Amino acid sequence: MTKRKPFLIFIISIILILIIIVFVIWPVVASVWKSWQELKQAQSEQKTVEEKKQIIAGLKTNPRIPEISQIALKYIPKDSESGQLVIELTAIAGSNSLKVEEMSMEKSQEASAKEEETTTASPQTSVNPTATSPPAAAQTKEVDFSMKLSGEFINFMKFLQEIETSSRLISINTIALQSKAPSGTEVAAFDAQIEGAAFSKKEVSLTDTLENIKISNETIEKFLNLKTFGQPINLPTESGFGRSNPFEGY
Amino acid sequence: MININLLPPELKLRRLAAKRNASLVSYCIVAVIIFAILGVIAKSLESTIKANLTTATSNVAQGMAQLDEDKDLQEMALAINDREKTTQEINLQKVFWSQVLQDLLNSVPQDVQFENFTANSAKTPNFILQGNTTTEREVIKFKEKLENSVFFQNVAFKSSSLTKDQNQEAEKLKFTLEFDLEQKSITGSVSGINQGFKKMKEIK
Repeated sequence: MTKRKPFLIFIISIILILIIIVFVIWPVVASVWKSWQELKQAQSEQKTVEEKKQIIAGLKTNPRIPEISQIALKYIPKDSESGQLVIELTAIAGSNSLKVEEMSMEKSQEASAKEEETTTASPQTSVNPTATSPPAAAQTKEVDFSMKLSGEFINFMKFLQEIETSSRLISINTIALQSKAPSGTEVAAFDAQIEGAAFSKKEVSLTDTLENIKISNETIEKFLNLKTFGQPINLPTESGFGRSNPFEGY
Repeated sequence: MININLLPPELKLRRLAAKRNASLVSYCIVAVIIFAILGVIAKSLESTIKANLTTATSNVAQGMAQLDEDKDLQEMALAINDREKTTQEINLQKVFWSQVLQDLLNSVPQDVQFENFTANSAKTPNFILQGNTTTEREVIKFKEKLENSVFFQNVAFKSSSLTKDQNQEAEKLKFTLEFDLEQKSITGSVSGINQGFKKMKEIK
């Protein structure tokens, strides 16, 4: 019995220590670890919230943010807005003394789908504007259009410049110019046929991160410098609706 | 001095065993106490961390509630940046025709007149130009100038034919040039902006 006594004491102590570890220390350590992780996350979230608050405070100092947002959503609208596009293109042409002889719009299509078509249709092209599918532009839809214009070349150049800085993002893909004047004469009149696309995007694809809510001065300047040509249609203020006989001349 | 233990050997052994047991018990008690203290420390640490966590969580919730008040502003900022990023990506693929055509105009010799001009950014040759001039020399000058431009490459002389206008007595040389786009704008290039600027420097 005396020989077993130290062994028993040792075993009882080990059992006691194990009980303390299993029922007290282990659950507490697990809980502390979990709480520690949560605390770390909460602290990081708190830091993010503070930084976000600072950015928001900075944004609040610029009273033109709602206006810039409207400009940005007009530049690449949520829907195709083909009517406004017609007005914009016609107004740009008109402001540059170009006559719009024909204009047609095509049904809007996914930019990515069109990219695939273009890539497969012309695999040997050296200039393929849609060879790679950009991530932010992936949800973008294209509103294809074609226009036939007539006028003078110098005005056509101004027309191209104004399209690049207009209030709607427009990309021209093909240009065909034909001189109207007999060769050798000094008359600079010509016909132009252009095909291009405007863009629309239903959703905002950027994630709500700190970087994505900071607006650089460059971005603000860019949107504020866009030029609107056509007056938008505003039905409530437009007058002159209702005819008793629409077959009569107007 | 010599110590003589007169205890019987059995008792002596028992005493030694009792001593050993006592020290073992004390070691075990100390170990148990240490672990018990560790448990108590862990518990207090747990309550401290939980208190901090509660504070931090409530601060986050409070901050989020404040941010929710400005949700419209955040959405506007996000929309602005989204449109800006999308524009940048589209512009990388877009041809800035006013710049390209301006460079083309800068390359035209005085005695060259355009008749037909087609530009297609997705189909090679990207440009087909038909015009008239006085001599082949003018066409070649035009071709050389286009080759030196940062915007154009692969300039090919396709054809030329001498024609006489009905109203005029002077003969005109009709020609066709085909070429490709090398760079889409001053800032965005097809084959590399550095190459473009290098070429620009060479021209200067």
